[in-house]
Amino acid sequence: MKTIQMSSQWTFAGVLLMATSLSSCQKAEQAAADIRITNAWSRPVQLPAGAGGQPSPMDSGTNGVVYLTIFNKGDLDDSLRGARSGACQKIEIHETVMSDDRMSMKRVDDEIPVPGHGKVEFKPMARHFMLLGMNRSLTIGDSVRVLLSFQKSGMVQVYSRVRLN
Amino acid sequence: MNPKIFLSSFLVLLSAIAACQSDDAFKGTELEGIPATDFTLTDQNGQPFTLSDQVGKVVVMFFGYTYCPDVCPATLSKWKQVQDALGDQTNEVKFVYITVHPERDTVEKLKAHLAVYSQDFVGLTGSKEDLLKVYNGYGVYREIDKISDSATGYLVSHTSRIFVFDRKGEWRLGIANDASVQDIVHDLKVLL
Repeated sequence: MKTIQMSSQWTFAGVLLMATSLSSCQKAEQAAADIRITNAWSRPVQLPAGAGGQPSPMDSGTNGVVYLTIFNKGDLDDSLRGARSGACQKIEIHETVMSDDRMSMKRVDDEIPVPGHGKVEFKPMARHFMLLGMNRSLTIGDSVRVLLSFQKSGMVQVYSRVRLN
Repeated sequence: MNPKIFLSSFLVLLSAIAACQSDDAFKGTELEGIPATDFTLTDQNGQPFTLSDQVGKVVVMFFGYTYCPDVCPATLSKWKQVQDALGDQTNEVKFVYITVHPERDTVEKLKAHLAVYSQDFVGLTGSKEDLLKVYNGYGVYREIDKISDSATGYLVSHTSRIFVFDRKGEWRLGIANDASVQDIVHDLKVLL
């Protein structure tokens, strides 16, 4: 009986320990960043005949774009550190600036904070991903695989749908 | 107040409101008395295109470049929606896209780029001298922005407004780039 009583005590202690551990795990999960990507889309790109040879970001002369919204459903702040895709040579983050009726673009820092419970939008006539040196044409209905790199969440894969608007 | 004066004031007010809401009023900025600068440039098929040859049609014109990934394709995409919304009337409208970057925009690039949106859109390029006359004729701003920290090397800032010419070949409207498809369709229908 005594052995059984001791065993029950140990079992109880074990259960308590497990419960505490589970609780800590849940707290750790709650404190993490939780990145979700929505509404990713791109505009069509048609490479001219002959441009598919060996395009480079400087001379291919044909660019693409990706728009999307990043949500961070977690408590912890995260930050976007860059993006890449097999569809192009390089991805930079650019911002369209309209001043009166003059349109210009500027490159913005690739590292963009994504606060906990916050969102960051990449949309037309504003901040967007610029796909430099397209390796292939993007046809309406295609999906473009893009990898976004986050400081805490690591690589997040997204498929950007090609459409007119 | 004298009832007659009150009634006439009321009627004047009503007329003013009706005038404001007139369906014939343009949504874009109406221009009067500004002659269109004629030009001949080369289209995406290597054929000459002359503005004055388009008399009888409404012409919608924009200055952009194929390397631009955001505003210029957004404009072409909007034009495509305008074209669809106009239905049969679209045959009476010519959509003309003039490059601000002839250094990169060859005839082949313009052809490939515009074909994504519509086979009916006209893409124009030409010599720097000929294009400069067109830019100056319409007060088009165009500047190369060197971006040292970007693989693009440089981008082109430019005027984003849409120019509209009526059937008589007169320069009638300036439409802001962020105008809605509905507003553009409305203005074109007034001219048609």
